[in-house]
Amino acid sequence: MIMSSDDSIQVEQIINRLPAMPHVVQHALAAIDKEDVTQVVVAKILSQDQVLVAQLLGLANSPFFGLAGAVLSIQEACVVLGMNTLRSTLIATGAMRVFPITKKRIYNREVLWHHALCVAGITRFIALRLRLDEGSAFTAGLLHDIGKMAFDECCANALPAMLQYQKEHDCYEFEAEQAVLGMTHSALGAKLAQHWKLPAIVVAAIADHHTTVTQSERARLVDIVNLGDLLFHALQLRNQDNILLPPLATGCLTRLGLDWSRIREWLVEIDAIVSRCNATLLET
Amino acid sequence: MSKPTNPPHATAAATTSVLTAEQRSQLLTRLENAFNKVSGDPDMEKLRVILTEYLLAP
Repeated sequence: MIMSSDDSIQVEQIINRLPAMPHVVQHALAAIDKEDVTQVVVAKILSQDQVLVAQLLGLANSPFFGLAGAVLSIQEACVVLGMNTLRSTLIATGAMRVFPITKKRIYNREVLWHHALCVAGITRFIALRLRLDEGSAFTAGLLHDIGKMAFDECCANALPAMLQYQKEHDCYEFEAEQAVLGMTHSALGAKLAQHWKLPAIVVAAIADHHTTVTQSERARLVDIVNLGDLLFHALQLRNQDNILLPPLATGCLTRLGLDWSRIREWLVEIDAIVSRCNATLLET
Repeated sequence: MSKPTNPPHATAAATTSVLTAEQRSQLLTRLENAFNKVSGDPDMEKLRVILTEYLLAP
């Protein structure tokens, strides 16, 4: 087990071994969180990193946001996207730079980022329908499995044993992680999100997206990510074998004020979101 | 939860084409296998119903 002796120290060591969120992203996020910040100030900060600007504009113009070609400069991005969406887009861009799609990893990062983007799209859609904060929903959906990439970055040598355990026990990945690594990707992802100073609600959603026994005061964002993750996997059944559907927390739909007939009505739109995400990842 | 094998552009996309009898049979088997692993959960049973109806619809 990687984290058997002193969990807190081991986790700190893992977090410290990970690449930091790009400085310009951190600086811009801190600026956006100030009440009196102007779009000119944020644009000026972002302009210091032209690679970041290109990535940000690529995502802003992707089919995901439906603004194809409308955002030509970082100044326009600040205006067209608005600060809330700009914040979540920035976090997405920064996280993708921390964990770029590279070869020779245990996990296929293209698949992980595709899943992340799809769940982000679905959670954003659900949040919009429920009139909740779409920015937090997008960020939480995008980063809900970020702990898997952190494991892959720092504990790659231990992952084959964990995957073997999962195969032998026919169990959930998070159960195998707990048994072999001593920690789940949800817990590690939450620590990383905390390290990146993301909002507490996003940290909670990452930490608890696989927690099924819940307290009544559980935040709705946690339930949205749990549901979004399940719906993505369920739709993948169309043409993918060996899918283990993630568990849904007890009372999830009730807390969200939803029922399955309403979700049935949403499936066409959610399917379309997945299609747009396919195109988005290929373009960014 | 799925095994991370297929590149994203090779995975599911919305399709309106009518399923052949063989595709329909494969899909039903896939749904049965996936939902049997989580049987007993009332929510999953309801998801199974709406998903089967949705994916098999022409």
